[in-house]
Amino acid sequence: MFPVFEIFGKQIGLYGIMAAVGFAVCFLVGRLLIRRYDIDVYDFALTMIAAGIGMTIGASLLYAATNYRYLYYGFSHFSEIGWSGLWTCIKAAFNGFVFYGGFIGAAIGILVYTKFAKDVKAHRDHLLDIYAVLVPLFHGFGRIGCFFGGCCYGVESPFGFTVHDNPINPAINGVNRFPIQLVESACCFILFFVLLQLFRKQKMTSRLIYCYLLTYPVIRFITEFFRGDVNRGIFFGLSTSQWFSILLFIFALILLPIKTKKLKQQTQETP
Amino acid sequence: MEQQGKKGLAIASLVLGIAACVISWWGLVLGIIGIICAIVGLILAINAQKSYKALGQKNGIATAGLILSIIGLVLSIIGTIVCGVLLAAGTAVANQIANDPEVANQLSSALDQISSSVN
Repeated sequence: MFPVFEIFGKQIGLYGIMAAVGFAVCFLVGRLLIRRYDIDVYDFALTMIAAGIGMTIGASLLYAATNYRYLYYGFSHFSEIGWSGLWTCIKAAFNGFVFYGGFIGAAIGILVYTKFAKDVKAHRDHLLDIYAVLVPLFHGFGRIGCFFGGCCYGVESPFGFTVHDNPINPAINGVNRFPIQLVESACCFILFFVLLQLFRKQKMTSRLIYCYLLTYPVIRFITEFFRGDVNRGIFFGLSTSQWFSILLFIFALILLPIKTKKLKQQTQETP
Repeated sequence: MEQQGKKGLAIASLVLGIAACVISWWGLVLGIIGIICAIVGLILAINAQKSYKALGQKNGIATAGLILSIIGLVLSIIGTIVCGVLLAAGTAVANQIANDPEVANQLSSALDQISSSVN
């Protein structure tokens, strides 16, 4: 749609702006949520940094895994294409992000950080609850960035938006497309408000991440059918994200009752 | 002697914050280095702030390092990551393919071979 604009000769990506805005809003909302557990704002900031690093690594790695053919070509034809060609193939393999990779990477980042940082060790479950509330908020902004960026897009449709002069995916120009990214953004914001209400009313405490994993994957599985960008990886008729949606849904379905039972036992043991 | 917070961390964060703000604007590789500088600067600034806060003190250098690291990180993210990476990578790949038909043919047939063997 409108992926970049120029300031002083420098191209600025709108996706990057939306990501930065999303991160800032998440930090501001998170500052309010941590008050319940008396978590220091600096410890929360370090946790967010750990999540951000994990998110970037995870999202890039999963994208590269779905575009392994560029890496395969680069390394197997190195003698013909040289370092320059290999660097081009590596950039092509890593030139995107997959949400689920980022989600898993961020969760791992939080788990690793809370394991080693003594100031937040006791707050691991609370931070995961806050993470569950903030993920759809960040994702909502990110999807708006996706819409502007044109790196992923909807199916051809009689209604929607026609893209022009998109340099990232020239193939999508001149075609009317369903604004699936905006639909998913709206779903993410709705999910954020639902999880926020659960947090505020102290429902499903220490288990909000499972609530997220039982909800968002369903949304994502459905919205994937309206995506038009096939280069995201299709395996046995379903996209990478649909497969991850199924796996994460089953993961939450199994672990939620286990966690609930564990929390009940802890409550009974505590005098 | 009055205990002091971690001044070294504060100074390091300030230097890294300035570096991140300056170099994040110049291309893909420097932009990624800028992101790394900004993140390290941010971590150092936060730890410096924590040490001063624990002693009930304030330190302007740590605050400046924190602010500059945040600005450097935002500049790096906006100018480099995702769309910048996409643009740099995508444009570079697209240009290479557009300007060199032989590369385009090789990549295309290689992708076809891999796709058919996967499917």
